[in-house]
Amino acid sequence: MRSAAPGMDFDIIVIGGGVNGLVCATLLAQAKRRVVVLEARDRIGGMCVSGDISVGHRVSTIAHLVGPFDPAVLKALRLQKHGLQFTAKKIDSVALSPDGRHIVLGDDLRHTAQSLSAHSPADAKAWPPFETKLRRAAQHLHRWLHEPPGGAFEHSARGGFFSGRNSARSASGFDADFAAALDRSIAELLDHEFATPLLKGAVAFDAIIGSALPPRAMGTAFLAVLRRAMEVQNTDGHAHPQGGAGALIAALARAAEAAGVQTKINARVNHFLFDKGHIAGVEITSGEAVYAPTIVSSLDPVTTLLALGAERELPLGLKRKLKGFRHQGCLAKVNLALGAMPTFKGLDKRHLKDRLIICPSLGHLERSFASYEQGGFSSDVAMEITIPSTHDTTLTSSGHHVLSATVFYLPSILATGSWDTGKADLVGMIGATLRQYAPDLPDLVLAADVYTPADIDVIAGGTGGHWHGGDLSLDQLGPLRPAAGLSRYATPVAGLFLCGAGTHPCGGVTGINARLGAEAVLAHVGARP
Amino acid sequence: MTDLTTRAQTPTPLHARTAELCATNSWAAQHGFTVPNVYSSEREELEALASRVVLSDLSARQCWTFDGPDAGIYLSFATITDVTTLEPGQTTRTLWCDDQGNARGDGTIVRFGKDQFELTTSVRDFAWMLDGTLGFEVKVGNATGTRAVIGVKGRLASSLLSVAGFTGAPSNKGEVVQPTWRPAQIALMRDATGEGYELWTQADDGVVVWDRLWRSGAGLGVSPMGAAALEMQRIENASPIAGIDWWPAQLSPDLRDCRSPLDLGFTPDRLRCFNGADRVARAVRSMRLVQVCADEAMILGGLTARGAPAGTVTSQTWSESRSRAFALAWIKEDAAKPGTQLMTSGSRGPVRAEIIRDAFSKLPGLV
Repeated sequence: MRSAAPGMDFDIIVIGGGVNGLVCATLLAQAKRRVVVLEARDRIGGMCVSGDISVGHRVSTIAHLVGPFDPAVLKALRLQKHGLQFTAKKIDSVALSPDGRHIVLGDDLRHTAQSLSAHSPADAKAWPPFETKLRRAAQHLHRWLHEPPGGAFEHSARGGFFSGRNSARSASGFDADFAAALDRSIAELLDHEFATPLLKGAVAFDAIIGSALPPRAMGTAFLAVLRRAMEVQNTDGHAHPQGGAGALIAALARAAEAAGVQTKINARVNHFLFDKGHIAGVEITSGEAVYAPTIVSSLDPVTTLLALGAERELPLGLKRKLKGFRHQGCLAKVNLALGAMPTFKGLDKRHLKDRLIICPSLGHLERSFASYEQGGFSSDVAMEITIPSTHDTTLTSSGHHVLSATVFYLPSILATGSWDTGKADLVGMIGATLRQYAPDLPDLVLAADVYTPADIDVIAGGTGGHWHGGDLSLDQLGPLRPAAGLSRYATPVAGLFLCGAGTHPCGGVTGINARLGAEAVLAHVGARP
Repeated sequence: MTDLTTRAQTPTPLHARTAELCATNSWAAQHGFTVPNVYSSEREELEALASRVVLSDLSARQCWTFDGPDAGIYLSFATITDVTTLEPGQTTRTLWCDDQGNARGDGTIVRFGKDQFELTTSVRDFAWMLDGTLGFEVKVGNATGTRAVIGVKGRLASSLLSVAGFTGAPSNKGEVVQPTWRPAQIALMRDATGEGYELWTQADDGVVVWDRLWRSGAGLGVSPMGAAALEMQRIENASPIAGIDWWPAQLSPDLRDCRSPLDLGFTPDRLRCFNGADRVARAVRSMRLVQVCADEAMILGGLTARGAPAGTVTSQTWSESRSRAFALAWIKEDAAKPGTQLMTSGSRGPVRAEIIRDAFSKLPGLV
């Protein structure tokens, strides 16, 4: 029989102290369970941490935008009461053009059409109906995102998203022809409707960012809807917490503590402990055992199930499928400390708080993907930039600023050379790219931090370092995420559950995975009265 | 003699000898290898089997080795059989399933030592077995093509073995011995039908062993037997084969063609944990593979019982010696009693057939 050290016996162990881990732990603790969170690193937060590039230049180290955060989680955890404040909400996107004719991609369709008319009056006219169709499809998908896959909604004959494809036109005016086009590629969909390269590049970038998929991959059109579906009924949209992403974690930590969650840092899980095929606890790096009959892992599903000793308990076919789960990270994060505010050509000051997208065309993405596949990167990398210091004064002082850039299609391992030298090349190349849009920007850089996909891997505590916990492709979504038979958060290992980004619906700082994971756990173990 | 080496797409280790003997130059593709189909004539080969002794090249099969402390535990999880109860030298027929409890393949497991097993099968599914080992301390090797297997069958089979110097032949079905015999190391197995023996050796030693048997058997009238005659024997022995009589789940064109172990006549221990066990426990036997016989040759196709569709013929043959046609057929469980009269098709019109027995009732050896 096991002998538990005092205080090492819990109802539930949550592995990983990132957003999903903390949200899940808090929801379970609120259901009167004794919960402990085990975090491998010396601080909680996972991908959501704030750090200093240099003294006086604070920035969100990896993830730099929050949300669209699950309103149900916000409410249940009362995060505002625990100190969460946003300095910017409903952040729009702006597709940057080197000649200053930027395109604003936001909620307001007329605004976009107006900025688009400088490129092509035909596209300006075509945009509102196109975006409306995407949003209508997103309305149908919204419920699906907030439920475990394989639920009643997927099978409902009327109103369900997938039913739209069967009837010529469903009762709610859902465009079935359009829905049928969503398993095509985003590039095809855009080529069919628009001529402006900048628009097509930015919309495609938004759809596929984070996944190692080229814009002409089948099913990427669906991702454009998925992205919009996350924003349906969400008043905050993409937001920036005051103090950076770490502030969200601080609020989550306070909510978790208030609910009675215990947190252990420097507690990397070596392997699971079993008792007659049922999970019994974990052994952590210090050699200590922590016992609980239920474990919820917010790590990626491949690490959870294939690297911690559960692999002997898994069916052979599932093991094979998991091995094939594509979760290689392809994003890098570059944070720059700037001595002053750079001047972006032709960009209205009010858009400085927005997401600035650098992706001039579909061809740009394709070339970047081609380099990525060869294990390198070219000058064609695409970027998403925020300058949070424009609205969050806690990050810098005395007119200094921080720029946070997510750089797309970078390999974990360089085919030639190593990231030790590659990092400098990357910063130089990004500087050269940014100079096209803000000529003074490279000269203002005081310090730079680069996190390659391999660095993000270490921070995420698993393998892959994937932004979304796994590529968002049709074969890895919904009932197939992370593998058929695993999509409802429970695993074939009795007592082991998943709640990380590799589960339905997708990654991002949303908290939905954690809520659905917690609901699945409670459905199995029952809430305490 | 014409050098036929270049004609064979994938020769077996015994090709140098079998090619010399294959007077008809008729070859068969068998499980990825090329083997003689007919050496002289099917009739002569079957006569030799009935009255004297025949050698056949059985090397065309998949052979996977499992070594390591977890080999037994892994195989007991990957297949429906608890192989940890086998003694070294024992063999067992087994089946392995996918996660849904559908059979992916069948074969024979031999335990050679505490941590050493070998699985021989006609199904190419090595990647499945290999991928499953994650988490187990077992090394899986694909020894396909590195083993020469010689079948010795017929009335004088045991006489031939003793003349050739292989003493201590196993007496029980499925038993394996490893006699000391110079110049090659061999394993000698009594095949699962009990009618003959299989000699297993490393590929390079195959020809040496074949020559020894061939020379020793000259006085006994030894002949070779080709794939065509073996196939007729197989059907007469009611020994089904994956890919012909039933679809391995990974190859089946339709979900309805997938078979549970119960359909194939295996009844796994319901309390044991193996891959797909929970689904197998819930499975209901709906079809049964049976042997049917008729006075006229049958063709592949449907079978009816009292005018209603009852099943399908999957392989058929005409037995010269017994002047009857034999076939293997899937029959609905409720119509699958021995003695049931069925109607099927022959080349000259309807044929009346009768169910004789379950196809797996005799635990057949590998063909």
